Amino acid sequence: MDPTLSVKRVFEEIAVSYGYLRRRLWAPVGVVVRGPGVYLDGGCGPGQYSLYIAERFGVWVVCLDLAFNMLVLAFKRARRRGVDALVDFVEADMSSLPFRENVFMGGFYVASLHHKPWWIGRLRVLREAWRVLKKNSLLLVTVWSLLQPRFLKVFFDWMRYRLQGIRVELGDTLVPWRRRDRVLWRYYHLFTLCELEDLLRYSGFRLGKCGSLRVRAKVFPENYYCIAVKES
Amino acid sequence: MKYRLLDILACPECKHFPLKLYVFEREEYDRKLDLKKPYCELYCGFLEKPLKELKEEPPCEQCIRYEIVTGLLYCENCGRWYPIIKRIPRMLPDKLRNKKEDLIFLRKYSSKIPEKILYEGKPYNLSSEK
Repeated sequence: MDPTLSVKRVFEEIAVSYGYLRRRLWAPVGVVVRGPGVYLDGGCGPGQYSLYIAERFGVWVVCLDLAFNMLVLAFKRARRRGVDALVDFVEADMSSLPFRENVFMGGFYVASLHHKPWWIGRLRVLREAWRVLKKNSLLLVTVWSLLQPRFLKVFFDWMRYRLQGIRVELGDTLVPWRRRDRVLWRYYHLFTLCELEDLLRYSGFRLGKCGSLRVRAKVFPENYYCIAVKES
Repeated sequence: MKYRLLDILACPECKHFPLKLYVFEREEYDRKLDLKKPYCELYCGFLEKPLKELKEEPPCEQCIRYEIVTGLLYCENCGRWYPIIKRIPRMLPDKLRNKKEDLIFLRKYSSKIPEKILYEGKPYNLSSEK
């Protein structure tokens, strides 16, 4: 099965419990806001970041996700918090965005790029982001980090697959979502900071601030982030 | 979705802009925005006209009150159609679409959908049931 489709199916199924658990805002999404305009939330999930941006800055945010159930949940939340006039929801794939060129004043892809398989697929996502952003607008990308003790196994798995002749990239893994009745596996491509920077450079962005973000860990950060600028 | 979204939406496959909107069901909410008018940049989805061609000021306060619950978006360039279900436009590329769900949608609203989309629309249509 197409990995994108399998990611979609898993997130459709876990939408409600996922939305219940993801409430903490750990990514500095506010940095991309530069005055009034439209902002893009790529892979919004239950929409916690978009609702925050709409409430805090009063700008129009377009939320995009592949999972329909996630968006239905996000709309309910927006309505409850009274920001539904500012937030719009679209179900679409990040690698073929349903928007015309030069519309967004900024964008943020919080923990979504790492669900796209293959290097070329992720490059396509960022090229699409580049296409829809306006000149001099900012893009914030955060992804999961490969260098964590819990993912040590990924190195050995990669070596084993390479010896068997199976084509995988270093960092490809399946992360479980445990439910009472069964376990659902989500595809992740774990990044190194260097890889994320290169990917953004290849897609035509100029790099701004890059670094790591700790959510719960004390030593090894779980996330990397990059702020990129579309210059031309 | 709100009419305002038509100002930025394009076909995900061929990137044609603007898309044609057919509304089957809509809701009205009591809401307003403190923004400079017009809210849109190029295209007024409520009057279905480019902003340049509008002679009078567009009715933005009225437009923002509506939420489209079910409807259909149609790309006049490549002939693809996209459903709007539960207030959310489903703008998926062909390979991620679900044929079964799409056909159910077409059958359910067949009286409201123009024949051209019903029998010739891409990627799925009811041409075999004509």
